[in-house]
Amino acid sequence: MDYATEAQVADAQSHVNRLKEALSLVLFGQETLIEFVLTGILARGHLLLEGLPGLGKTELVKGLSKILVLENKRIQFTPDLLPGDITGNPVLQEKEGNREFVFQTGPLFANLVLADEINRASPKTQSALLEAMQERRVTVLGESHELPSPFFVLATQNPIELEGTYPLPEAQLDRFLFKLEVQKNPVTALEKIVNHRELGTEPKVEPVLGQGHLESIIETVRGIYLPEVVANYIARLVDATHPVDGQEAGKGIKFGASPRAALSLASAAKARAVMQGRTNASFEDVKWLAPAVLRHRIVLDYAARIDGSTPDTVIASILEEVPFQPGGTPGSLKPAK
Amino acid sequence: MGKENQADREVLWRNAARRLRFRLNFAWWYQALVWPLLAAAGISGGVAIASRKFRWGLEDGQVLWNILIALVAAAGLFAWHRARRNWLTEKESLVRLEADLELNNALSTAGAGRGSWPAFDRDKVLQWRPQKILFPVVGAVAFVLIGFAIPILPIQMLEAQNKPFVWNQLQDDLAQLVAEEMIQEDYAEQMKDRLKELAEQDPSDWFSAASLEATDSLRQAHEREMNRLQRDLMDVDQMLRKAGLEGLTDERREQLRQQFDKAVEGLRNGQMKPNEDLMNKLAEAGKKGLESLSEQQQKALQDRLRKLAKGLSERKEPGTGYGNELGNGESPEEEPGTGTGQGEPQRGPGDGGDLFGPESPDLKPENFESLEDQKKQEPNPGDLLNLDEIEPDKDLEKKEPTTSGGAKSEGLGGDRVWKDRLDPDEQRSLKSFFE
Repeated sequence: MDYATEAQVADAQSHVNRLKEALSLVLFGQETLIEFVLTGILARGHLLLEGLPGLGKTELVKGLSKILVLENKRIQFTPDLLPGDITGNPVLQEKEGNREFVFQTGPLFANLVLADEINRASPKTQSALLEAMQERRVTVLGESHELPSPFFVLATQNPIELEGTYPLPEAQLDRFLFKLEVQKNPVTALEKIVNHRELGTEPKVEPVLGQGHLESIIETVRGIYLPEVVANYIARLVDATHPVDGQEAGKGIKFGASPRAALSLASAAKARAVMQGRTNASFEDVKWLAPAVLRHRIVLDYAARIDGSTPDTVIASILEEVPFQPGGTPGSLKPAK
Repeated sequence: MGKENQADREVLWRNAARRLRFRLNFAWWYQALVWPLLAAAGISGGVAIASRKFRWGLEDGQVLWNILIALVAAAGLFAWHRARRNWLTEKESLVRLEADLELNNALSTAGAGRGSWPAFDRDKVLQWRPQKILFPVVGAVAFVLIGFAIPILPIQMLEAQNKPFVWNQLQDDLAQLVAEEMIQEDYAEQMKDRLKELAEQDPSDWFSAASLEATDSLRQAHEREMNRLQRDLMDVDQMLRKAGLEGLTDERREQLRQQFDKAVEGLRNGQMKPNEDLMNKLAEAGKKGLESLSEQQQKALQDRLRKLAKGLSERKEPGTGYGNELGNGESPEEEPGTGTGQGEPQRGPGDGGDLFGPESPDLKPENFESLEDQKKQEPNPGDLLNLDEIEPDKDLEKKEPTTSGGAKSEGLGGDRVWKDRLDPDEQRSLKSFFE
C-alpha cells in the first residue's frame, strides 16, 4: 500500500481549505458542521443530517453540490414515494420497430443525492436505498445498474413532527457514515444571515473543485497511515459499546456498534488527518469523530432512556472511560501542569 | 529538514520516552508495594511489640531488623511481580508520551517511518503526588517506630504486679537463699511448688479469702522454718562455744556432745536445712568429737553458723521475730541465762522515747481520774446499739370495767371507711359504681 506523502497531504489540505471557505459562505456559523460534512465526503461516506426545519440542511447540500461541481439530484421523500421513483423504472420503448424495456434511471443516478426528509418515505422505499448506499449500484428486475462515482447520499430528517413518519431501520442507519445534528445558529450567525441573505433567493456559489480533484483527494485519504495503536483504540471504543457485565463503559446500551462502525471511524479519522494536514490518523481524530460515527449505531435500553441518557451522553462516558492506551496511570502520578 | 536534525529529534524523543517509562513503571511498582510494605512494617512492629511484651529478646539484637529487611524485600518482590503486567515497553511509552502531549500520534508515525519526528519542546507529562508517595513510607516507618518505641510493660512484670505481693516476696526470698547457698534446694523447690499451685488457680481467685489465707499460712510456715533453723544454728553455735571452754568435766563434755548431736539432728530433720557442706562439716565434727576440733576449726565453724544465722535473721520481716528467746549471756555457771533476750535485731521500730517531753510529776496512779462519756447516749455512726433509755410501749389508757353488750368503740368498718377515709374522687367513683 502506498502511503500518502506530506506533499500530497499538503496539496489536499489546501483544496479542502478552499472548500471549507466556500461552504462557510453558504452556511454561516456552522463551521463544525461544515468540517464534519467535508470529512464525510472525503471518507466517501453518506451523511444523515438531523435538525429542525430552516436551519440550512438543504442549503448546505445544495451548496456542496455546486462547489464540488458534481451532478446532484434532490428527492423529496413522501409517504407515497415508491422505490421505482428513486431507482428508476424499465419503460417500454419502441426502437426500430421493436418494443423493448429500457431502464429509465431515477434520481439516485447522480453524484450527490439529497434525500430530503428521508423518514417520511415508507420502509419499502427507504430500503431501496440500501443497495445503492452500500454497493453503489441499483438492481431492477434482476438487472444491476452501477451508480456514478463518486456517489454520496446526504439525507435530512426532522426530529419533530414524527406523525406519519417511518423511523429509519438500524440496517439503513448503519450505512450512514455520520449522523450530524444541525444545531441552531448563534446570534452572530443569525445577524449575518439577516444581513447577507434575502428570503426566496439562493446564495451565489462558485465551483471550487472538479470531480477529478475530489477523487485524487479521496485517494490521498486512503493513503493516510493509521498507526496500530489508533486502530487498537478504535477497536476498544467500538467494543466498549457492547454491554458487558461488570463494566461501566457501555452501560445503558442494548445493542452496540457494528464492525462497519469501526471501519467508518478509521476512514473518517484518515479524512480528518488530511483536513489537518497530517500523514497519519490519530487518537484525537478518533475521539473527535466518535460521537458522529456512533450515535446512530447504538440502541439504548429502556432504563437508560428513562434515566434521560442519550446516545451522546453514553458515548461521552465511553470516551471518558476508554483510555488512548490500555493501562491507565498509577495513583502516585498526576498529569503535569 | 535534514536527516541529522531528524536523528537528533529521534534521540531526544526516545530518551524522553525512556524517562517516562521508568517513571511510570516505578510508580506502578510503588503502588503495588504500598500495602505489602505497610503489612511488612505492621508485622515487624507487631513482632517487636510482642517480643518486648513477652521478652523474646528479638528486639535487642539484629533478629528483628533482619525480619524487617526480609519482609520488605519479600514485599518488593511481590510488588514487582504484580506491577509487571502494567509495565510499559519503550514503544508503549512513546505512545503514552504522544497521547499526553497531544501530538496526534506523530511519534508513533515517525517511529514507524511514516512521518517526520516533531520538534522536541517538552516532555513533562506526569508529575509525582508527594502525599501519595510519602504517606505509605511514613506509615511504614511509624509502624516500625511504634513497635520499637511505644512503652510496654513486659507481661512477666505485669503478672508480677498483679500477683499478691507475698508470692513475689517469697519467691525472691527463696531464690536468694538458694543463690547465696544458705539452704538446700529441696526446701526451696517444695515452697516454689506450693506457690505455683496458688498461682495456677484462676487469677480472679488470687485475692480470694481462701487464697490469701493460704498465702499467709505459707508465709508464716516459711518464717517459722527460718526461725527454727536460726535457733538450731545458734544452739549448735552455743554447743561449739561451750565445748571450746577449758576445765570442763568429762561428764559435762559428754553432755555437751549429746546436746550437739541432738542439735545437729534437729538441723538435719528440719524442712529447711543449712547447705550441704556445712551439714557435712557439723556431722564430721560430731563424729570425731568436739574436743578434737582445733581452735581455728571451731572458730571457722562458728563463723559460718553465725553468718548463716545472721543471714536468716536479715531475711525476716522487721518486727516479726520472736523476742522471748533465752538470753545468751555468759554466766559463771556456764548455764543459759535466765533473762529475756533483746529480741531480733530487726524487731521493728520501738517508741521514740520522750517524744512529747519529760513525763509530768503528777502522772501517778493515785492521780488518775476516770473519764465519763458525756455522749454515750448519742449513737455514733456505725453503732449498732446505743445506750438510749427506751420507753417501753405501755398502754396508758385507763381501763375500766365495762358492761357486757356495750360497744366501747364504734369501729371503722363499712360506710365509715369510704365516707371518712376516701378522697372525694374515690368517693365519687365508688358511689357511681354502687348506683
